Amino acid sequence: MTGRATEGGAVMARRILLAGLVTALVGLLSAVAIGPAAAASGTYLRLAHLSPDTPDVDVSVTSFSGATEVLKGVGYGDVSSYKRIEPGTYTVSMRPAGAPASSPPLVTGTLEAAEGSAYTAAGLGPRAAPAVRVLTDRLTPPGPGEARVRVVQGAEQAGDVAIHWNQAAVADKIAFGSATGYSACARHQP
Amino acid sequence: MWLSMLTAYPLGVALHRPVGCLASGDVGIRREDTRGFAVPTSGQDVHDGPSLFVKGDLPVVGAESREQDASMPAATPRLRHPLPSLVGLSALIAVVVLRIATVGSRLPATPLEARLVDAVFPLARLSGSVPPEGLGEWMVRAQLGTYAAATGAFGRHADVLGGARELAVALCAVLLVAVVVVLRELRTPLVATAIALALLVVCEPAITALATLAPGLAGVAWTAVGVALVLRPGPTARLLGAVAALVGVATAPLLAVPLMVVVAAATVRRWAPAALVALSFGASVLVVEVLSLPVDRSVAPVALVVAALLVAARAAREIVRRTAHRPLPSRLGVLVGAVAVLAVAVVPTVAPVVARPSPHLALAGWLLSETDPAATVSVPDGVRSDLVRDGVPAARLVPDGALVVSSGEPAAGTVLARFGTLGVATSVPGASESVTRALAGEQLARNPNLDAAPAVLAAVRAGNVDTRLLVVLAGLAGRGRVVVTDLPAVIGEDPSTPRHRMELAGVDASTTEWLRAQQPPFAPVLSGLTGSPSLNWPLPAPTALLGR
Repeated sequence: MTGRATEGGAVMARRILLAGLVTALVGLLSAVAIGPAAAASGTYLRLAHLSPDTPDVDVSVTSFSGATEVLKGVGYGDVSSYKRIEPGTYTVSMRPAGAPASSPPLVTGTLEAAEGSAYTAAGLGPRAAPAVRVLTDRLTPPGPGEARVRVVQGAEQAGDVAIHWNQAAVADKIAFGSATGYSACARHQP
Repeated sequence: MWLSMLTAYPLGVALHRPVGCLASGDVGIRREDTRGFAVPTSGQDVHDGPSLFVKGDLPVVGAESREQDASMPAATPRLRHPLPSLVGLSALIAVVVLRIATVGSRLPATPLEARLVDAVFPLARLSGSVPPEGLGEWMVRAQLGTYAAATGAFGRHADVLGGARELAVALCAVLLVAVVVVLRELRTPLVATAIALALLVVCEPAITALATLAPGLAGVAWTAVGVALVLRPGPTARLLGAVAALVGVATAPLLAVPLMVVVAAATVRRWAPAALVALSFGASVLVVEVLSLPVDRSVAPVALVVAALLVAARAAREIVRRTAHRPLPSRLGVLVGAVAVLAVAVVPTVAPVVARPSPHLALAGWLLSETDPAATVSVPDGVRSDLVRDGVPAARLVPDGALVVSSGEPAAGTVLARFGTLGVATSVPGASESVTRALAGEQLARNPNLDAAPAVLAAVRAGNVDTRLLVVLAGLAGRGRVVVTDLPAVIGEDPSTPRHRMELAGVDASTTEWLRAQQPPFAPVLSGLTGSPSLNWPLPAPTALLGR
């Protein structure tokens, strides 16, 4: 009985930790989304590493028209800041950090960046089947008294998760490797 | 064997010899009046007991009947040189068979033949086949499988269907020899038989009916052999004849009706001539059609051809009989007529033949070189065995494949290629990404690191390039200068299919390593020289790769 209680407590602690991680991601994404948006126009891109069992990666972003950017040493949970880019088509490749450019990429995806839009290119899913998921971000400020929330489920061990905001359900049964759309929520009144 | 049988029965002997009976117990054979014809010198066919004599068109049981046969040719000349005559008859049979083979080589497969070859071809059978429709089809499958295994017929023609048609030709040869033997037992002069055969050669519908493999052809051939053997003296021949007739009836069950009529007529000793047999057979066919019974109908045209052959021979016999006593010019006229018919028959036989198109080889080559080995393919009946023989793994050929091969226009999906009568399309329509590819291609064409001929740049700019190729080319250009020498079109592919082959020049080892490191779905298949590799992205191309 005591052993079960201890085991149950560990499980609960792990779930709390994972849920906290998800929540942190939510907060990070939503906070960042609100931050630079209002002040800038143009096309923006940020990168996120949300594949829990994938080691740190170097991310290369190659424009079809010629330019290449490399972001080195991106670890799980890292979300870069927005970088202004030219509108156009890009390839996004992730390789193990420090690996030569000729090494097999862990995952390759493409991005079509339109003028005036912002994107998050997230490495999602398990290492066995990672994918580059391009999320279109909304950088316009929410309405008065509102917040805007989007959940990106990057905690594999948490399973399907539900998100509540101020006791109100924001999203339910969010599977690992998936992302929700934006939800408008009332701001917390302390 | 059949030719040796013919040789063993010189024409003059056969014209007037007694024949075996169909009724059990009446096994006695006795020498009959020869009226000027040759008589067998051997006594082995002479037995005691009741005799069965030929009387008119069909055998009849008669007790010591010696009455004169009114229909017997009164003045059929005895052949003084039977060997040349038999050689001539054999040559005529060969012409008929050659004509059948010629027509068969250009006829497309019937639905039944398509099922047959797919079911019987050994390798194709591994991936499953349609169950036979009835006993007749099962019997033909067994016969075709045995024949192909014994002779290797599937391996020596342009397509597997040719092996099946080879069996059809062999069955026709057997059928014709059996018919000739029966005609001889019915005292039909050689020239009459020859005229009937010559008429058969010029009758295109009859040749066509004999040129395709079906239970009807096999059944009639077996039954004809059975009848020919039953008419031979000796219990062994009759036993073998009965077995052959049973195989024939099992292969083409509709033949049971006329056979039963013949046996019944012989049993009651009051037989009706061929009209009764024809009527009974026609009635049975009608019943089958009206009631839509699950019985193979392919026997009807073949039986009709054989019946016409017999009637023609008998009619020719009458002409010969009536002109036999006339002066030389009349007989010469008959001979000249026969030769003329034969000449007309030979012309289409030796004329150049447009063989049946065999696009499966090009299709198989395309599937093996241009498509993803994991992509499954559904094909029409009759094509699967050809593709397996051409090297396509049988496991790829499934009913609901990602790629669909069809004989006509594809019902759905995006057309990828066409090889003769066979078109290839995706199973579901792919989203049109030409605009997206054109947008990406426009940017790539402006990449200063891309060194390519105007035609290549135009194709890239127009979006007429596979998305995977675009992505990898963008990656190459991101690493440094890249020289694209060609985006070759693949023979057979539809013009709307984006180019998915690329030839590069000046590729160093590092770039080759980078190319080999690409992961699906972007990984190309590399071939060619080290510095000038050829890259290929197999079809079907995945969709929604851009901006996903």
